[in-house]
Amino acid sequence: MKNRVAQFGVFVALALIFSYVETLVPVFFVVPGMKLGLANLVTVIVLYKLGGKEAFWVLTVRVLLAGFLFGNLFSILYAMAGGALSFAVMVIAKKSGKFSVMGVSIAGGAFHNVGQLIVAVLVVETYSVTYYLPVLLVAGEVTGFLIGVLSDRMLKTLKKINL
Amino acid sequence: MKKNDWILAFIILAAAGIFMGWNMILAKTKGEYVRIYQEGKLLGEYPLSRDDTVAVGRTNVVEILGGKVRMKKADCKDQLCVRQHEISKNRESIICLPNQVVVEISSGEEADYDAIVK
Repeated sequence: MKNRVAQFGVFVALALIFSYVETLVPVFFVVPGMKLGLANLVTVIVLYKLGGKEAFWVLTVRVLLAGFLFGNLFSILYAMAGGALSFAVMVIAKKSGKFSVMGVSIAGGAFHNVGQLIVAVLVVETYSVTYYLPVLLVAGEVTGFLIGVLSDRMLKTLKKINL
Repeated sequence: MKKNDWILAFIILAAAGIFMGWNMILAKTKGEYVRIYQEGKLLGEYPLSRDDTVAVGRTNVVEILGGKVRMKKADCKDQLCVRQHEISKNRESIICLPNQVVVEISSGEEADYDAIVK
């Protein structure tokens, strides 16, 4: 694709759709904040194919739009916090060169939940929320791993395509 | 998966385990009271021994029945707090994030690790 803006739009739209589809899938554990993180698939792929800056903007625009479309001010806050921390960790992990796509995604998944939990602590003004930290860490790790495997597969297939 | 990926995954798992162990150690006693907070302020402390129904603001209703606590009603969209299982052990909590309601079991002493952050 030659037009950068159109390309950017396509990725944001894709991430938005994943975000929405996620809300249709019921989560079995009743733990606040649990989700599949499907939209992260787009973030990881853009990160590896186009770089950190592109990925950051795709993420930010997607979070804002998803918030306006399906969520509310609070969901934007949580998603931004989780997304920002998770993104920062993923960029660092990727730059270090020590991890594969799976590792980067695992870190991203786990820290996304940590970020959200931190905001929750600030919002409700008690530390009680940290009771959920163990479950969210493992859940984030597992979904991160799955998204990582998917991303890895896709990146290998997309290797031939130049963006 | 590279070796470092496994190490990272293990470290996160271990961290989760440590937090869980910490929670379990603090929770080894059966709770005696339930504290209800809204927007960080303690609204009240109720003994688990007495069945009760407590309205929290105009948005939530907490029910104490048979020594267990659950969120009976809430006007939040996701209803996660209502769907959560009842709690009765120390440090267990039910939280309604949209309404900033925190319902927590305590053993009646000072709030130990759960200070109110202001």
